[in-house]
Amino acid sequence: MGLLDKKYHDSNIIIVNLESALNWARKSSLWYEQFGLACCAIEMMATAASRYDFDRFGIIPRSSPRQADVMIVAGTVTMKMASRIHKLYEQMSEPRYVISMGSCSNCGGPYWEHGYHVLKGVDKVIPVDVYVPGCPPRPEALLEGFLKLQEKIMNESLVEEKPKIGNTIEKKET
Amino acid sequence: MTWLESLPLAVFVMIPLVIILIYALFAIWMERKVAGFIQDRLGPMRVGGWHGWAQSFADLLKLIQKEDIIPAEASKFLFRFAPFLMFAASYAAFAVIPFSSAYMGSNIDIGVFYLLAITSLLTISVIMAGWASNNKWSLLGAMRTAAQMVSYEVPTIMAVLSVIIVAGSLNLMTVTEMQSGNDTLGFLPNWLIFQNPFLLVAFVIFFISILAESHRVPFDLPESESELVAGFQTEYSGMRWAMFMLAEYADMLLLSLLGAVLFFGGWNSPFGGFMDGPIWGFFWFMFKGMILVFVMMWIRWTLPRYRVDQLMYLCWSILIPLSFINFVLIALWEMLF
Amino acid sequence: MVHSFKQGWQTLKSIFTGMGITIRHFFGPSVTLQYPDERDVLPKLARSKLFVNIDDCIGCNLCARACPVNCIDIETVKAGADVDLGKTSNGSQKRLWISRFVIDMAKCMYCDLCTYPCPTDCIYMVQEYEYSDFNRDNLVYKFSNLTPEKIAEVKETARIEAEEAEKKKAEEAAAKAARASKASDSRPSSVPGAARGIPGSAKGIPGKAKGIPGASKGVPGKAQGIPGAAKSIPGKAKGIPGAAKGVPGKAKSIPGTAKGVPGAAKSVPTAAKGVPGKAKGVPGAAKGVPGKAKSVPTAAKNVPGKAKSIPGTAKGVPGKAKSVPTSAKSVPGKAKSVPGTAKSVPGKAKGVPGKAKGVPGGGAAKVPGKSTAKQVPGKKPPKENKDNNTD
Repeated sequence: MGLLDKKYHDSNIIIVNLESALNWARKSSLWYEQFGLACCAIEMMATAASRYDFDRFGIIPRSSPRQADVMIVAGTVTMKMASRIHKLYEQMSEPRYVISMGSCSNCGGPYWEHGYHVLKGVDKVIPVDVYVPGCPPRPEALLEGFLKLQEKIMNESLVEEKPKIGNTIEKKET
Repeated sequence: MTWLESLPLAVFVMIPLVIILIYALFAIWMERKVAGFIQDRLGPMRVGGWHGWAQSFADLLKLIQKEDIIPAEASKFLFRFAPFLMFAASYAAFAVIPFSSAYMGSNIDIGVFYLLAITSLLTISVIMAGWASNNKWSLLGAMRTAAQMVSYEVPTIMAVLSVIIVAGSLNLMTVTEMQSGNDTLGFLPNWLIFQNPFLLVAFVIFFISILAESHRVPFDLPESESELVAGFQTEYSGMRWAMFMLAEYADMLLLSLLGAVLFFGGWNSPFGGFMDGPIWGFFWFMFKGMILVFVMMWIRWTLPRYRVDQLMYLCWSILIPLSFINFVLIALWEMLF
Repeated sequence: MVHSFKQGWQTLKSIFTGMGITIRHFFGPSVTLQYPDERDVLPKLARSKLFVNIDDCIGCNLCARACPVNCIDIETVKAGADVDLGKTSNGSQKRLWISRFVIDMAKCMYCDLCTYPCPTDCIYMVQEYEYSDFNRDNLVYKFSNLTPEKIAEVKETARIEAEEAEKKKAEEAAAKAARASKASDSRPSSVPGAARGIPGSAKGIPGKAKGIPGASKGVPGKAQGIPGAAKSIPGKAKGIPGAAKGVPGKAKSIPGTAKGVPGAAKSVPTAAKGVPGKAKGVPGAAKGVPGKAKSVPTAAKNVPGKAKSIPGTAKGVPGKAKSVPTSAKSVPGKAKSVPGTAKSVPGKAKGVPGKAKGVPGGGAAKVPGKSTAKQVPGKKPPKENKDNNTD
């Protein structure tokens, strides 16, 4: 399996349709590996609960990394936890995605300067697809992170060259 | 026999498979909707349009794409083989289920016996999966599953035997046929559950036992997430895991349909001759089965999980003595009336 | 047995009660908010994304200092005297170019503490919480509206102006030093023993002065520089005019607090010119003078470096001396103030060493002598200075 590992060299109508069907399937069925580490986990639970309801998007929790598609790193990643996160990420089956939720896992958050025990961003150990800012983020913000991830998945391709969204740094001037 | 000659047979054999697949897609969606509604949520809403009807298709298509991981330390052949064995066991058991008056896989006289025997293969496949994974969660989950399924087979069989005493046949088609009509008390359908007060008790025992047999809450110890990650399925990913899921839902349907045959008249219409016939029969049969499936889901989202010792206590100290007593009482009732 | 049945009945009853509840909820309405289509209205004080109205920002840096996680980074450039940056919406004059105003929203902990100190209310939280991104660098929000070229230009201008000002100061200082040295040269060194060489432009001032004129007692280490600190005054004269207390730590010096000390000393106005170091200086306006002392505030302009530098010290002059205005140039360093221009002159005692015996505490030296009589305004100055500086 691992259908996405093998890329086609050129595109045609069958591949394009197949691609969008597969992308649609992946984006519609994002089962998440729960990685609640701190207060963000509470918001993650709230997002899964009645008011915001992850399941509307087809997002449900799986406790085994083998069956999960996306890992939500929610909370302060300590140095000790970092190796576990890395291990569990490696146990996930492809295609896999990571959502970094909250300031702490984005870049260390309040601990970015003096936190001797905190990893300064979970992207130091695993590749992160979407960063959700907030401390902790509102459930809507997490859902928006998922929508962003879906957008990214829809832009993935079975053909090699197609540029991926997210690899460019957009300058933001406010 | 050429392949052309065997084609009708192949189609004939494939009918339960189609039913299982459609049912599984529907039941997974339904389970999530039921869970959602019970928790004041909505369940799948956005995938495919109306109430997320395409959710199961998306799940299936995604699972096909997932990487198939086989742990380096696993016993590779058994690891690969276990999901198929599990599904095969569930599927084979459907052979003796009378889906309608016109269709039944194999009209054998030892139907119930065959069904109970072949579902025991599930235990073996679970142990196989758990042990071959070479993972302690898997092994613990498999051990629990084995203990649970072996234990609960006893009350299941006793409850089924109670029905067999009344019906006098092991052939499920015969059991169904003898429940047609509208004779009980003049207005109730002639179903076994209405014919004998002790069969009501038998049904309760049977239902509790099939919950445990199909690993449903409150007996979902094999895959209890909070303790065992995912039980014997921990190491499985992608389609192999989907096979487990399919087998589990098929098992659930199988046991519900068995309950429908034994206690609720199988494919008989609840209105006597009204809305009767092979097609309606199939509808009623699936309808009854799905009602039981719905009750299983309803229980799942209501009750918490049992502890292992409580599970065993319930089985060995309550259900088994009760089912034996009930068995004797039903036999007495049958002698008297 | 009875107990078992009771228990069994209880079990069944509770199961059916629970299932009754769930089935009621099954048919009940859902509470779900369908997020992308529907949204909650956030409460008025909800804390979400930060926004800076850069047109109103005066570059005071208060928000950055209030930030507990240091996620705000501000850099300002002083605008030239002839440049009008306009006013903020509440009427404050803007004097600084904001060459950098960066908020790292990835680090922000949404405490809202930065918004309260803002004098112009230009930093505030907006009700926007959906700004996830694929790249963490995009979470760093830049608010400065100057182009890089403009920034380079204003920096260059500021540098030139600073240089000019420096030159000017240097000239002035040289002139003063010259005067001072003249004065000291004119006097014979009365007590050679005690005299310590005094570097700087005040070329040694002999006499009894033990201290180093203009020496303040800075307290290195903690950086309590005391600019303009006239610490001590022996004898009766306790007044410590113009004692600025440095502020330790990151160098927030708080200069210019003259601690009045009652006593005979009336006051010593000092004009210390600090030498800035890394520290963020606090311009010192010596503020009030407590006590009876009539003290004289010091106008320390500057702010000591890491706090070591101690701007000029006004030395109280003991004895009868009423006041000695001093303008010392502080020299950063280890807090040894350099008597660059120790100009202090005892009040009435116009350079009368004899009387001015008091030895200022710490390193404060007195400069005896007649030294610049001009600079000593005699009795009057203290008052005037006080009036001027305490404003």
